Amino acid sequence: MKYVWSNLTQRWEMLLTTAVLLVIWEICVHALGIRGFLLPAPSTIVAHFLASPAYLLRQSLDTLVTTAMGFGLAVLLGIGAAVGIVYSRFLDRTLYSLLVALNAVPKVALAPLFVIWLGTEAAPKVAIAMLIAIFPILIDTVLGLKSVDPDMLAMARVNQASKAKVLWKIRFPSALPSIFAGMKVGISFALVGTIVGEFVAGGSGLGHVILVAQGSFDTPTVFVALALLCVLGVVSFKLIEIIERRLLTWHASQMGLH
Amino acid sequence: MRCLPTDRPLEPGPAASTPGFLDIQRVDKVYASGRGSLQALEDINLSIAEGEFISIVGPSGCGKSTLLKCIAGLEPISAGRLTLDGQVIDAPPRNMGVVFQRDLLLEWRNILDNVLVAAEFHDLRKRDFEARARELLALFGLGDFLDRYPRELSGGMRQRVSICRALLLDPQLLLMDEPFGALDPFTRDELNAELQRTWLATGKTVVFITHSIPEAVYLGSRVVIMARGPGRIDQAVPVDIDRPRGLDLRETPAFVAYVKHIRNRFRQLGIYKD
Repeated sequence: MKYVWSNLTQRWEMLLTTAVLLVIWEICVHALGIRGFLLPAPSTIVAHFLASPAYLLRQSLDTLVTTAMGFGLAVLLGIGAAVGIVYSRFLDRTLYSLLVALNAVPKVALAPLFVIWLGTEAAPKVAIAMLIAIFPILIDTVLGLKSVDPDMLAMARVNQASKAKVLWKIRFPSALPSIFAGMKVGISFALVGTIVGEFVAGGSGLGHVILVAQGSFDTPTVFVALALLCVLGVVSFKLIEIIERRLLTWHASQMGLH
Repeated sequence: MRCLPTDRPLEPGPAASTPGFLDIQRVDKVYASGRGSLQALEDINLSIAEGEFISIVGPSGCGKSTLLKCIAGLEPISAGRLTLDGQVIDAPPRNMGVVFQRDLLLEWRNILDNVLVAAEFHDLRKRDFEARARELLALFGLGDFLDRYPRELSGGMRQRVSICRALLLDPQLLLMDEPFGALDPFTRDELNAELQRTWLATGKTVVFITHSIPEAVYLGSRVVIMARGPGRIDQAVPVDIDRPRGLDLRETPAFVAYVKHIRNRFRQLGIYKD
């Protein structure tokens, strides 16, 4: 109860601060006579959203779906590859080192290549989102799977546990906090990847909306898209956090909250 | 309570010539590393009869945990012969349970499932062992905590759960590696008494490692004294005190004499410098 209360107060404080900042923004724009194509007032931005909500929400949904697909693929492939790397010394030495090297490349620079390979539909966007999101997930999963208490493995061995059982009943659950840490970074990265894909491949999504609006100096629409992206980012991150909290009630970092 | 060990020559273990249930013959353990090798165990000989409670006591670094790991099949030996019930130990034997220094409970499983994990790991059907798990937990005073999670339990309760896990499949051999070292003295006393009761009721062969001389004497039918540099067995002292042994027994002259004898031996070995 106390927790709920302090949480509400905190939320209250945040909303109030945001509201005050928006009011200051609004007043500044009017008082200083800043022109709309440089910095639109919040009221203008809201008006622009209300002018064509269906279109903007459809583009948001498009971005959300692409992000979710890219992220989902990143989770599947990232965890799968991590298991392979942890269980095979060969993969550890080859694939893992290669991936770490690849991680140093700014992956955004690969986006045009994907358009050449995969066309301009959803595929290149999903691929870019996946490529950017997979690294934190993979690296954190490898770390989590590897840093299992060696005594725990000894306990499994004296109980005749097979490799598969050790993976599913010990390594994987104890790596979950680490996997979720990777996924929380990964979901934000997936959104970045989607926007980059939409910039490069075009066609649809909030990235495309921003690009088109920029072409006609329609700054308020750019801000609408940014606000919607902000909502998407926060909601998807929170979603992962909620799943984490449900799954990891046992984990120490969650204990203060229960 | 008969004569004291100090006024008679110490006998070797009971079955020195015929192979014991757990038989350790001329076992060496050498850890090879880049800059040379470290001899952890040298010429270990110990023959343990079925149903014996062997306490192994010694200072840090005397190799007692290494010896236990070798018996558990977790570490290969470098020389010698190690058999359990006539079978050479080259992997963790099936009819063995191990209680580790730390309880090693799975935080994401409740107490009952933490005990049943032993069956799951052995590829046995969980529900065939549920009744036994409940029974064991009740025996150790945890009957009301079956659906609790490890984080909700005290250190003593957690270690009890790990003992139940080791006992679930009714192993013939129980290995215990300083299981009560991290507990407060009250809980330690309680668990010593519970362990003795369990041992008397089941007649399992137990190898129990400890830093505490009184604990070793209280529980053991023989106390094995280990010395270090390299780790070796100095002597095995049979403890001739009737069972069940009450906690108050530890203040009786007979008990104190055993403790003194063992402490003196450590003093002679240069472990104590008082």
